[in-house]
Amino acid sequence: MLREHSAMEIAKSRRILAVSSPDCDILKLLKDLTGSAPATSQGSNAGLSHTWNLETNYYKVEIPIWIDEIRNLTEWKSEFMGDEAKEVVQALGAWIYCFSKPVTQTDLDAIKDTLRAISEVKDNGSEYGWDGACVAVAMPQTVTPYLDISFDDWDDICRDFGFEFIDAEATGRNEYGEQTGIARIKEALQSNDWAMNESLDLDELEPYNENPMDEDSGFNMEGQEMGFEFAALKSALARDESSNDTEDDAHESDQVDELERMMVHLQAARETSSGLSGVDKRRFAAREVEKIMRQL
Amino acid sequence: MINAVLVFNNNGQPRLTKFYTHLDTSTQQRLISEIFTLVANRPSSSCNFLPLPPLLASASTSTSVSSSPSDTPSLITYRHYATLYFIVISTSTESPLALLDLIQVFVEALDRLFENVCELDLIFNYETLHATLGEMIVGGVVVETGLDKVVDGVKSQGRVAKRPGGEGLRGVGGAGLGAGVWAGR
Repeated sequence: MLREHSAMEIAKSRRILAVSSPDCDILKLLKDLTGSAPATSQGSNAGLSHTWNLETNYYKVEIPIWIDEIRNLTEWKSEFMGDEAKEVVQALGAWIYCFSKPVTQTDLDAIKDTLRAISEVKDNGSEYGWDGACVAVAMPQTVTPYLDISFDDWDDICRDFGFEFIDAEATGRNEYGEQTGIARIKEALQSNDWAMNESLDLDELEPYNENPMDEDSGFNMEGQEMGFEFAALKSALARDESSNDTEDDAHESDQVDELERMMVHLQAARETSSGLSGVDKRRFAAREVEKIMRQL
Repeated sequence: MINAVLVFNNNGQPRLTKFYTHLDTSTQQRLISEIFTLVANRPSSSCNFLPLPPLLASASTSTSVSSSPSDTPSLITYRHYATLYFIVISTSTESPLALLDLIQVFVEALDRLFENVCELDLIFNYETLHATLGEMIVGGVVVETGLDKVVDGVKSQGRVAKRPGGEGLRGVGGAGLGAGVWAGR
């Protein structure tokens, strides 16, 4: 018997932070990726936000995207290493760093410095070890000639800082059957876990403010109870009790089958989660409970 | 024997971690991150086998007193399919080429069960992933390598999850993990 997965809706999504240097057309990237982009304002993209309605075969989610521009790397980094910015960083599920293909060695060094800075901000912002997608996207360069760096070299450079390299101009699949370009960004982000950690409540989080040190930006985190999961468990048990009155043999064997399936499911879940770290384990467990409750 | 089967994506996130040798959680996690680093740093031109470094080998031996060559994990066999690494850790008594074939059968079975499998399928259907592996390896011993038997076995367990909204077609072309022609590296 085949089981069906219903495409679940992720209610609270982690965010994407898309950063670029001022010369890079990040809005075009977002348009190619999500189908639309916010209108540019007053020559700077910093502080803009966007929403990506992502739908896969297994889940749908509305992912808020924050956009930032790095005009001065040292200033940007020191802002993001601050305590207020930590909460922003913890709310992220993915980083997108967008740059124009470098023309000179100096350009390349600047890109490496930025990758290093973002990587340090990421490490600083997470206590338990952050899990998410990081992509470094090389956008087209109109100045020619520009530096000729092979895909493998780019891959090595970016992986050293924890980023996956994407050439935005690439299309189709490469020699290894891997997706490239915008399609690969989409694929990498689809395989990401977007569910917000249940201990963060971002209902009161205002749209991304360019200056996180600003008093008005009000990042207000409250703990969220796992009450809804207990309510689901209780109602499922209540339903089960009421159906006992009309039980017959066939119904009983169905229940046994169902229980056996659930046991196998739980065992597989236990094995899968054995390789995960503390926070991931909790998140994974919460998701599994939800799945099982829905089956009931 | 097979000591472990691991599947990672290109970013080192584990998608399957099955150990046939008992290890405590912290050792498992250390093994997982170190093995991924070892395998991911291999140039694409290198072969699919590498020895398990001695430190990892001693960490992954169970607490039993005797450790002969047939007990000690010493070999890493891996294949890289599109964005996923499939890694088998085994003792020296296993044939490396046979393990390579085992990985191939595993991937082909998943591709048949999911109709052009992708990483998202593995994330959301890990029971099927485990069921497929369970048809092939039991207690660290390879029990089945026939593709049809493995696929039929999983289907008869009733654990193939169907994608919502139809027969799981991934659109035109349908090139999954293996690009149709098993382009594993």
